[in-house]
Amino acid sequence: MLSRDFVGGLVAIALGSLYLVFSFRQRVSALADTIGPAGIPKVLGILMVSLGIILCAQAIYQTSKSVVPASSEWKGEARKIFRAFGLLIIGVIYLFMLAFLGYVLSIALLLAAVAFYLGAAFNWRMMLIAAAGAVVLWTIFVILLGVPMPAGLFSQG
Amino acid sequence: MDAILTSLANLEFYLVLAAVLGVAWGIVGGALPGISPSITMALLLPFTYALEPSIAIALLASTYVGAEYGGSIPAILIRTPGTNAAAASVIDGYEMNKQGKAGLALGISLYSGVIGSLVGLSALVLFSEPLARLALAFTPPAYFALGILGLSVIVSLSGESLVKGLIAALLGLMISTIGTDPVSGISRFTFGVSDLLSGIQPILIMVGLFAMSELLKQASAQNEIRVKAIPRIQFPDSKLKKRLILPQFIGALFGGFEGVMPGAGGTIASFMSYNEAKRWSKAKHEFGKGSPEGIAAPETANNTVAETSLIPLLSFGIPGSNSTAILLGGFLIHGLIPGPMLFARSGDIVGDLYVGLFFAAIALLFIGIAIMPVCIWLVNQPRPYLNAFIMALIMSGIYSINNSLFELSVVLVAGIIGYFMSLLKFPFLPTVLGLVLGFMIESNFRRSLLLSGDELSIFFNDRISLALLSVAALFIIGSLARPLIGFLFAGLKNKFTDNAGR
Repeated sequence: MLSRDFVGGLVAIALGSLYLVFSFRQRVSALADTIGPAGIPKVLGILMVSLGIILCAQAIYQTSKSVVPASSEWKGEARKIFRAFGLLIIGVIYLFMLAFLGYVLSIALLLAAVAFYLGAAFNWRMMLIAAAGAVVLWTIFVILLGVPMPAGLFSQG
Repeated sequence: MDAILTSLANLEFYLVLAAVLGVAWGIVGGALPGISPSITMALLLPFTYALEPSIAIALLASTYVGAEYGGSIPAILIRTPGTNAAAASVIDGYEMNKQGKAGLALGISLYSGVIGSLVGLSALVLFSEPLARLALAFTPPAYFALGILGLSVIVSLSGESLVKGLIAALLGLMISTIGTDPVSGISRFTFGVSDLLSGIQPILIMVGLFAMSELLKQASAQNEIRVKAIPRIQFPDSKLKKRLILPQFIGALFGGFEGVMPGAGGTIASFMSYNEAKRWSKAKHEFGKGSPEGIAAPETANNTVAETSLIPLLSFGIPGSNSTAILLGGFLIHGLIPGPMLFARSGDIVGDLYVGLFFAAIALLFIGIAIMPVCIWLVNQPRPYLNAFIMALIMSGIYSINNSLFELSVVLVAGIIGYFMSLLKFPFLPTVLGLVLGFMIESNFRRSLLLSGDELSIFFNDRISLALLSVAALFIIGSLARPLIGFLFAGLKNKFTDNAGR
């Protein structure tokens, strides 16, 4: 099983490589300075890949010395990642809802969905808190701060 | 000093209100376990967009002051520090609570916090402007060197692994290259997305890394701890006040020093001052068993740090901690760049900040007492509702900046990045430093080379640049040598103990 550091190193190598590819594809103007718009990114990409390799090497060395298996580092993490991913999906759905349903309705649904997802019981209390929360936030942002939040279904146009 | 007098002469009601509200919000945020001062400030950041710059900056800085005290409330009442810096207050604070002295423990924490804030503010006023004046003579090579000095802090911010800290910083530097090239004006890494042409605003990454990632982390956390009784805050009597002078002095000393040192922060200051307060105390035996001095030293230290950590930010534009990085975000969204020019061009804002911080320190005393029941009520609320409100605040606040769904999606992506960085144990602050310093470093490096005809010697011929690069080199060597020296000393000590044993 891979240790956290090894995975971190692999991610750094992948990210650095991808960034390097785009750096080499960077368009350069004839009027650019000697370093040019791609100069610094190329250095950053090379450094990222190099540090990723060092981190992987360190991880392999530490794993070989350690008596505790690397798999113990990941115990219970899969469930946590899925839980976090679920919350993220709620956030993404909110992004799509905002323009269509409008701010008040979307934020009320967001409050209810997040609270329910995190373990609150689905009952009248939860609905009431979500509705009241939406009204409070609408008052703060739209009335007090004058932010033009999307009206969605409630727009007059 | 003139800026302070001008600010006082034209004192605005809203400035005082911002200081009071900032402190109140900070105490509430600090009191909630898992919500650090930087998250408390990050949640407030989008709201400040609609405010006047001086009010916004004072509000954010006051939040930091309030949060440092707020962290001690759950530390004393439920043995769970609300902030990292309050961890040292758990040791004696919770012991005093068990002895039925929770009110006195909270009173000592509040009283010491106010003293720490006032001492820190004095240091901030005394040192920020002279240091910034020095920086007025900066040329492009000096700005480049300043950026490198800022990045050198990463060595001490990287925690367990320097390699991870450097990777995190590179990530920030990479993000800073997205947008229009500072010299040639060509777009880079925008992939045809027009929203990326002006680059990614640091505030979006900060809110994503600090606040959104914490929410994602807490999606699977289940920690329902309840406070049973609301204690009445009791301030120390004159005899106890006298006894607390020495630990408070120690706390202010360490807080002042560690606050200015980038990357050190309130946690180190708290523990170091706790340790020294114990060493110098006449009642050493009480430490760990409910010593009032054991609360006074760390609480003075972390509140001093809240003020002195603004010195490198205001003078050089370098944030040395997560909270000051968020404050930097507050400056940036109002088009203000902390550093030497801030004092020259926007001295009124600096004056208002000092005055706001003074009112924040005083307000801390009153708000700290008044808001206690609210904090305890909030700590006792079911976590799902609290987190739902925090998520709603983030989504509403970020949208309110530019009414942009694209920016909301950037925050979500930054949240995912932050979540995985946290999972893989990468520190956040180097990323933020790389992000905010990247543009300064690249643009001034290339401008310097244009000026010198591609001669690297320009960085060594410029005296300020040479001095800053030398300091950066010393800082890096010092930070790398410290663990090595510690390791060698530990070896020698063991050898000595073995010999003595024989």
